[in-house]
Amino acid sequence: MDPQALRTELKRLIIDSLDLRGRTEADIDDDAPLFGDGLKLDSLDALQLAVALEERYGLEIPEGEESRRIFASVSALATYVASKLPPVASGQVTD
Amino acid sequence: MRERVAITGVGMVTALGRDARTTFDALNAGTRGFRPVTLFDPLDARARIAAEVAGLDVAAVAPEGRAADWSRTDAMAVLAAREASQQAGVATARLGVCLGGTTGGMLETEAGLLAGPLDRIDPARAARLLSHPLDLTTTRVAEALGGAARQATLCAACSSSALAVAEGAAWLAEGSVDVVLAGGADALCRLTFFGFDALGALDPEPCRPFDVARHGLGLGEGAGFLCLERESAARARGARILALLAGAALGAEAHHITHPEPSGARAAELMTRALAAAELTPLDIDYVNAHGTGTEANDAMEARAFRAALGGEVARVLVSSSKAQLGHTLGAAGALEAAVTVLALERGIAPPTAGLASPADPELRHVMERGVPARLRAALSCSFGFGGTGAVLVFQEAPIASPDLVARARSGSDAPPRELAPAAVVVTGFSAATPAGTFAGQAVERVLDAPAAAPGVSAADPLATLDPERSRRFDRGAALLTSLAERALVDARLEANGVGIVSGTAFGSVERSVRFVLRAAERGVRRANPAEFPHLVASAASGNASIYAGLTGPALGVSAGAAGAEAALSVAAAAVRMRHARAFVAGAAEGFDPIVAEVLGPLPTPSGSVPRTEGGGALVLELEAAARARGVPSAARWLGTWWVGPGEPCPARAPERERALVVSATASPEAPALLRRGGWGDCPERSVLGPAGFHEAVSAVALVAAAAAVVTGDADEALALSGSARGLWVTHFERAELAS
Repeated sequence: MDPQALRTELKRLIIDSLDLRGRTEADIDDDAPLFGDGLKLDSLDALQLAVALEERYGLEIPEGEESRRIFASVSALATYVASKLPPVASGQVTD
Repeated sequence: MRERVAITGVGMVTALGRDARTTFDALNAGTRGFRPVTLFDPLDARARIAAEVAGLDVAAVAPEGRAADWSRTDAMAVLAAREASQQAGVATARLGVCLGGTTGGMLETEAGLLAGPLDRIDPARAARLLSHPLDLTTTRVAEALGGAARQATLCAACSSSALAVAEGAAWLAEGSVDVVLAGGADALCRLTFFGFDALGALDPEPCRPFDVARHGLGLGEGAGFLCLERESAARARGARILALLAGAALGAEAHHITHPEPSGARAAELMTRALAAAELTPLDIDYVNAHGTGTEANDAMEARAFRAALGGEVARVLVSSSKAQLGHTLGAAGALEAAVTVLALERGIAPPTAGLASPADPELRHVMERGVPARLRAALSCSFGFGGTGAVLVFQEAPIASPDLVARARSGSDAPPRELAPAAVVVTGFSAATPAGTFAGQAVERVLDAPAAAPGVSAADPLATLDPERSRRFDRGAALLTSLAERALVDARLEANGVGIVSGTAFGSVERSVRFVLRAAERGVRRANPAEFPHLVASAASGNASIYAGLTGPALGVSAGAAGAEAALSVAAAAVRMRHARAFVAGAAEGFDPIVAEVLGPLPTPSGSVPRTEGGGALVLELEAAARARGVPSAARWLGTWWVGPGEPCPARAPERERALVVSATASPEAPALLRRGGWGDCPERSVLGPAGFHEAVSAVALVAAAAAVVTGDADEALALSGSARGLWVTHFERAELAS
């Protein structure tokens, strides 16, 4: 999947699964922190986002320090997701 | 000094025993109640254990032939309330029952949900699906005790029944009842087990509060009740007093839906306020029963709060959490732990935190492994919960009654009952949401002039009026309540700080709860929505409004069917008289819920059945003296809210002033007869049926319209009516000129 398209898709997933009403993909900077500053998400959001990612892409989000790194920004998240997706598959995996 | 409250009976149903003595002895022996979950399949949950009550047979507790409608929560509540009542051995016609809970008959509702597709629901299954409203349990407890003159059902998440105990004490101070059975009950259910598991908050092993190895909480179930009486009355009848409830403080952190404010400053402030209410200092406290859930966030916060509130005494005061043995019993925890604290004082044994081996906060004086005999003069029982709610109760040992003391109390009892003259309470602000819009202040009058709403037309989208970032995950009910609370506060010209909120909801967040349980059941607990779970408790709307608006007084929900607003008003009035907050927002809001609409169908009205809509109303309530002191020119004095059975006399006095108005939210044929009996038959009557929409919070709009008519000067006094053929709710306001 095209990296830019994946980042946009992830932004949509974040907006929908975390109920970020009134926000659009354009409001979320690729490299802005998701937690703390930036989008100001918290640990409850991290749990919810992990469930949504597992559901959508069939991948596991590890816990602890590694998850902090993966959830650093949309770019970091996209890199992780892309590394876990089968190379030829595109779009979403439904279960 | 306010009269203290005597605890003359306790009752407990827990994983450790079916009565208080067995439970308390097992606690002190270090026994732990965790076993593999048997009440349902825990599916793929990380945790597999809970502190279940073994061998509970609902049919053996329910009246003959009624077991099919009774929930496990009902049965545990009735057993515990009976035990407390029997120990107290007091009979009165002026009995109050005040229950705290979080999920009621949810276990049975879940069985109904999972029994088949939701589009084919027969009446028996529909009845099972509606097992969860919390007030069903209160009614069953009241019936088992021979009827109650007053009852209320509170939800403040995991502090619910600690608030119920404090509210019961407030009723005694108000003088509305003479004995209160106050307690809490919650059966284990999928919703809470899966919810806490999805949050990663459950320890797969028996939980270890205050230990360096703590990994979360362990759920339990049970019921706890305390029998409360005024100390003078208990002394006069020669009752054995187990302990005294010397004071209480209630509040909300207005911080976060699940995370406690980490510094512990808000919790410490509650402890300090509770001590002040009890006229005690840290030097008087010998034991603290901590909330102690076993989560890092709670325990670390609580340890900081103990250090701040107790100062240097923290090294001396014994502390323990009963949750390592009873499990976290959620809505029952506050009352169960209050009962444990009472027995600790009475028996002179501080119970342990079983399983605590390596304290994370070694400067606290933990009781470990087994109970420690010690003279305990006074103790705190602390409860905190989702939405930032908190309650601290202060219990004190009962001095041995000298013959002199008993004689004095007895001679007092021969005199006519002391007139307690509760402080006057006034309404100083209001708002209402109807299909014609959301109104506050003077504009509320327009509610009565609006035409009847077309079927299916609702209030404006409640979520659209709120800041999207701060109202994330609010359901429609929470959004409505938040918007109503903010407008009512503006109308009352009050800052949110120090103001509490009490809100009625008939069913809670049904659609989302159903979605949560079904999703977990169908796709696994690890696919459940963790962030949604904290929003499903019946106090979530109040908790969310508290956090959004910065309301730091107590934040709680009340469950009373279509009389949620009336229940909220009387609960808030008692609490404001006890100075639990400087003012309360009280009301009810119902967001449109497709499952409630589907299961219950259209609402019957005189002009045929109509689809349910949404809306509600909120009033700001404060002491008349406080309103006068801050320069409020005029207000609506609340003279009372009463429930009246068919044919009973009108509890409100006949109108005394020139212009009296009746605002009705009922089409019951009992209403005109009641008004005639009460001398209100000739007064002009306006109806909110139609203009207010069609839902269970319509009576809130009637209360708001009645109070508004009195404040704006359209009427000198007003009666608001709601209810059905089974009985009516009557609320009376009169105009109070406060400017001197």
